[in-house]
Amino acid sequence: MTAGSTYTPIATYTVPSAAASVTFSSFSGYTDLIVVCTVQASPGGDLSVQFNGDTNTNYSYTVMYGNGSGAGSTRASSRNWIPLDYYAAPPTSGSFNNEILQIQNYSNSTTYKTVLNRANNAASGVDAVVGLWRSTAAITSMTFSVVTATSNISAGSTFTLYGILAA
Amino acid sequence: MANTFTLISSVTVGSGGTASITFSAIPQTYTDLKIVLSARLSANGDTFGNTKISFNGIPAGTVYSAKNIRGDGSAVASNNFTSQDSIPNNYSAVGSTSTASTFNNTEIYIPNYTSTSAAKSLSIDNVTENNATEAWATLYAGLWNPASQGAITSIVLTSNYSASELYAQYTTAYLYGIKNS
Repeated sequence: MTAGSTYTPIATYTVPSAAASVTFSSFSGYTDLIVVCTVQASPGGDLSVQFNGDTNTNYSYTVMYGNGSGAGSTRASSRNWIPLDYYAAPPTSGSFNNEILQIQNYSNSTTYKTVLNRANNAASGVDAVVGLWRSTAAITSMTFSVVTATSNISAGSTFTLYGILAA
Repeated sequence: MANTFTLISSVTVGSGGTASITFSAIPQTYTDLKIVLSARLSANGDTFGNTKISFNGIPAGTVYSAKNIRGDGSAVASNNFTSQDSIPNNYSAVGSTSTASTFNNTEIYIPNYTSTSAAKSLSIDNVTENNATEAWATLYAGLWNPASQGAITSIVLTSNYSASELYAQYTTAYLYGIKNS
């Protein structure tokens, strides 16, 4: 396999100062997308993603989580975003968590879009998240923010978008 | 386009097995690292086994921590590990009494491994499916947080279930570098 042809860096961004959101746009020509991020947030909260600027209740998710003492699962429908973590939320200081988001078949215009995320914060938990955006539109942008409206993504957080090509 | 998912090194364990697998002199020219491991443990007398991961030498002090979630097909649980001398990766490998010819698979992802200012936060996924009564799926969040932060230059994967266990013949480990530009 010529790996470079199918796992291509599209954009990378290091947050220079506290920011309410990080947005990727202008990605086309791939089959799937992967976002790798390392995040802090202040005053804190779950990282979330929205697509194409859609802030309506078109999202749902299911989480499997562990916090070091217990494990469980939860889910919700008709939400305004997909939370990407549950116990593994970004730390407020010190270390960064890491999250690896996979978005399958993002450019098709016939099906709703599904995502998989793994979130890791060794101080608070480990999560696996599946999410759904109930839209048949091709994903042309994605915006990351912290669910808590007053919280920001902290300086030094990194976001990298990769494109995966099936052929 | 840039060749961003590049094989750095690979190991295939030969006859006789080995107690550890080491990747050293890791180039500092990538952004992230990914290890793909297919492993079986010999001589541990169980259906599964534990392994551990450490960076830049062993021992490296009690500067590792982790949390996991694990399920064996009938129940789920979560464990907390603090002040460890390595990142424990329990319930991660196929053991010597497991179904013959089965190997686990593991993916370890380490973002920003060259940072000299940030602790290293990593993601680990394991499965030990073996078509038997006990098999594990385990997910880990790990952190290496030494007093003086440094780039990761070497990684050691070690069998950890008992002193006699080894990575068995045909175990493979691949280290990839991923570049963000």
